[in-house]
Amino acid sequence: MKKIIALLVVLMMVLAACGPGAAPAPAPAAPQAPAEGQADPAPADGGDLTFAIITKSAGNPFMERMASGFETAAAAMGINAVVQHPVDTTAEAQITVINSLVAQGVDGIAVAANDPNALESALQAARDQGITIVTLDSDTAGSSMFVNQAGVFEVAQVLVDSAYDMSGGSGQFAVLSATSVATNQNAWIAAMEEIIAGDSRYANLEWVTTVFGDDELQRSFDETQSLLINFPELRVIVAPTTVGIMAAAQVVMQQGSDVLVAGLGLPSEMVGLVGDDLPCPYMYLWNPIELGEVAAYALNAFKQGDTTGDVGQSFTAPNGNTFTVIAAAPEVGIVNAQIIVGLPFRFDGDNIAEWALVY
Amino acid sequence: MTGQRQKRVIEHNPPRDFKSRFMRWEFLLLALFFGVVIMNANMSPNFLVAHHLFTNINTFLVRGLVALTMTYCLLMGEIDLSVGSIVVFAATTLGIVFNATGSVFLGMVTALVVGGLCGAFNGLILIKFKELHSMIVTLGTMILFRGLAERILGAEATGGMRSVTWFANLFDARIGPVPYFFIFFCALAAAFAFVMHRTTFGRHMFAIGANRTAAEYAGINVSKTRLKVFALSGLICGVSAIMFASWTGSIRSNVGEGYEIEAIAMCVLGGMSTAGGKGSLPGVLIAIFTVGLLQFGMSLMNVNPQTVRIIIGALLIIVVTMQNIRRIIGKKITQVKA
Amino acid sequence: MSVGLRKILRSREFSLFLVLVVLCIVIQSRNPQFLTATVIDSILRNYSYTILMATGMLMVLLVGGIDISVGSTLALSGMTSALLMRHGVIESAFLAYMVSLGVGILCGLMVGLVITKGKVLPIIASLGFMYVFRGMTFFISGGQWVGMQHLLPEFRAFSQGAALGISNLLWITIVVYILVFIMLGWTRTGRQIYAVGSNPEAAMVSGIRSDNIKLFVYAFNGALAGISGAMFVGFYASAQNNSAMGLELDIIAACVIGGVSLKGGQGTIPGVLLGALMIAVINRSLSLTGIDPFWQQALKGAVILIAVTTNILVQRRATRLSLARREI
Repeated sequence: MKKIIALLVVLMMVLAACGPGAAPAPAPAAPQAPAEGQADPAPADGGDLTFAIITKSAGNPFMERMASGFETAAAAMGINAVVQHPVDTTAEAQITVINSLVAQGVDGIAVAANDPNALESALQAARDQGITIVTLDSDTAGSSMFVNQAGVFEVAQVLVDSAYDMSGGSGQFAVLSATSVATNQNAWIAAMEEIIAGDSRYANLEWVTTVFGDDELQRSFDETQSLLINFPELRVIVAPTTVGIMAAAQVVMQQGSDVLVAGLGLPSEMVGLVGDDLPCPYMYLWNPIELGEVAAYALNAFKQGDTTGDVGQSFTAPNGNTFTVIAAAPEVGIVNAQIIVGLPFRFDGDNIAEWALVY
Repeated sequence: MTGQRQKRVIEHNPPRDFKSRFMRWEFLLLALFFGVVIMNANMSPNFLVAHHLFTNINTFLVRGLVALTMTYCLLMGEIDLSVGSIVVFAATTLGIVFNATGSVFLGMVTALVVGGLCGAFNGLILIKFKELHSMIVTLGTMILFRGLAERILGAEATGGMRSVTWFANLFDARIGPVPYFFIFFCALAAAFAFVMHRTTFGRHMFAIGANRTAAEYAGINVSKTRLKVFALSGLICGVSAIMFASWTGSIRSNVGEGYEIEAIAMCVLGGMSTAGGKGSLPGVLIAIFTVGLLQFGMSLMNVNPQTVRIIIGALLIIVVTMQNIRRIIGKKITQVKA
Repeated sequence: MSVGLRKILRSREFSLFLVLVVLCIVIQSRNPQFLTATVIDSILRNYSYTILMATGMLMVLLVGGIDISVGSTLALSGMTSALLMRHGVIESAFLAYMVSLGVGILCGLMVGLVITKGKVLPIIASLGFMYVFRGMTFFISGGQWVGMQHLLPEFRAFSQGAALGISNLLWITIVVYILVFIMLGWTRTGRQIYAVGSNPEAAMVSGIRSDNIKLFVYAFNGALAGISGAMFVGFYASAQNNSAMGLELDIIAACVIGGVSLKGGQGTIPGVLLGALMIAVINRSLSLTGIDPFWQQALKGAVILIAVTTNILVQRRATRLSLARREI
């Protein structure tokens, strides 16, 4: 035992000499390839491509399905796919992931940005290495193309129309959003304001307030209950977030209130809440699987030279659909040229059970 | 905060025991650190590429800054949960001042002042209300400071400071592959280590952490020291805010969420006791780099971040338990021999 | 004035009660609907598990420990029974609650074992397990949620239902409070818990097996987090991976506001109840006051700070008064 201790002491002395003290700099100098790095060229083309998708955060069913669509489409094209979920819903966590993907030397990255500006320099560094970048779900500066799930104004329009229709054309409605920094929700809300202000049809709709449920069940419950108490005349709650709409519908159902809930929700989470005599008569969403697939197609189109991302070009995806690149829409936060995957899809009592099996 | 008081007394009396424990702790950590480096280098050919490696080190050092001051707080038996919120609040004011005046230098000064003031605010409440534990006070200010940033920013982000080249270079610029920020961090860490282990102020912090009442009787101005440490904590959060702004150029009100827990995790892995009066800054430094490089390596292998969290959590428990089991066995052996 | 009444009026709990009353009056003046049955019921329902888990944390803090893994334990235990329901393994609400309880106890035991047998500081052990349990929740669920359609209707009905006008979740909370109150005040285990926390050396000398007591306390705390997992999933009719993130801070805050010392040995059930109610009222009522949502977080922080400092001031005054009286 003594010998072992002695050995340990010697070892520690050696380490103590270089380690602790005033300034231990445990910087592992890279002995192998110090000069390389910046000059790392894009890997030679020829079939062996790797595409990566960065979601907004882990544990969100919408994002998980988007990633699975991306993986499937890439696999079908014979491309390796990497799925990276950042640890938090922050730009910071995404930058860390981007850095790691750059170090791995992937060929293309599709990212659902958590911040419209913060990723720019990290993405620029990736492009300098020959990596193609597209954004999906939420756009950010520094990308070559935005794969738009559904136009911002189209989404806002169906939300406003839901409120109009469910309230019977007049009365109070409120918006229950996600966090106050959620870029998509903010864009939709801004577009809703514009639509309502611009059309006299909606003159009798009164938008009483916008509250934030932070995409947490407890907070969303609290906020919904407060809405019901503070606005006894409330007719409709519009929740353009999957957690919010579920919480709002639950509260309305549990309290037996006759307020109706509209918004964007995942069918698999909303079975039993969507239907004719239920709190949410109908809701909208788009197919996250398809969104992920199209992002993979778009990356491949860049790599194969089918598109350069310029407005007016079009390319045909392996699934037979043709996408045309249209101009950016900076006023709603879309800073890159975009392709639009589809229109918001309506779920109601008749089709929800069927779609719940899909996503 | 912990019921292991009696053990602490035992460890404090024979200084030799304490010293060997401290040495062994760092030995174990260093072994762990090299283990991580070797594992990463073996698993991924992209790990030991200086440019990428330093790009990544730079990113976790923004949080590492916070761990440095957390070390001082823990050393005194205090805890500062508000660090992440001070970072976002200071960064917010930086952005606002920059956009209002066009001077990013003014913004930086504001961030440092705001950070320092926030920290001093924590300290002031704590010395005026000595009955309150720092955990509850900083929990309150954690919500308060982030709330203020939320109020200022609303749903918007503030940014654009990366358009000032020298400001962006604070984070980006390098000598060869080595970023200036890395060098700055090492210098700052050296200063922190020097103050903690070689100055009167450092000895005071150790004394207060070990036994606040005794320290007071020994003539140490406990209130003043606490105030200084909390103000310093806020100030360094201001530095972290500047580096964050220089790094991303965009600040929203969710910046810095969870910094406090990460910083605490790095500190305790580095051997800091949350009961106070124990620990070493070099240990914390090794822990910062171990955790950071482990995360980077796992990310290179595309491991799910939640799995990485399991690994870090398990590592924390296993390393500390191993350490203690060795000590317990060691004690038993000496008992048998005696 | 009788001695008993005087003692109550001077107690820390009473001053806290006053702070809570003032807070309620302020909110009531902003929104007259605050003190109505509906709102009070919704506060108690939405925060039943926070209030419940505060008792577990009280016991942990009493023995001089801390457990910040409870939010993760809640998520893991809730997700476990939700997944088992989805796969048709669990077919009764009772069983679902029992499974969650079991998972919670296991989690608590693990934390307790590492702390007592591994001699690891409570905050380190529970911090590690916070990551581990949360990661496991993601792992077993594969990043997915369990939606309402997969939960047993009976399970949801129980968690959302009420008996005698009081929600079932609140009944669970009330029963646990009574049990813990009796245990801490009138049983040997209770006295030993206080002894272990207030003076570990003396406890050891008097033959208390403090490791066993601590293990029991952590397991009990885990059990409450486990039940809360089932309550959470049943009430919100959804099991999510990131449920109850940061809940531990709310719970610790409830205890500390309620006068529990983080050094161990000091704290009472009525105090914790008041502290937990305070947290529930602050969290729930800001949205009722009609204040700009962007102000709410800042205000919440300010209210917590004001509440704890006012409580100290009231407390100091009470001590001074009683000292003055003694001099006469």
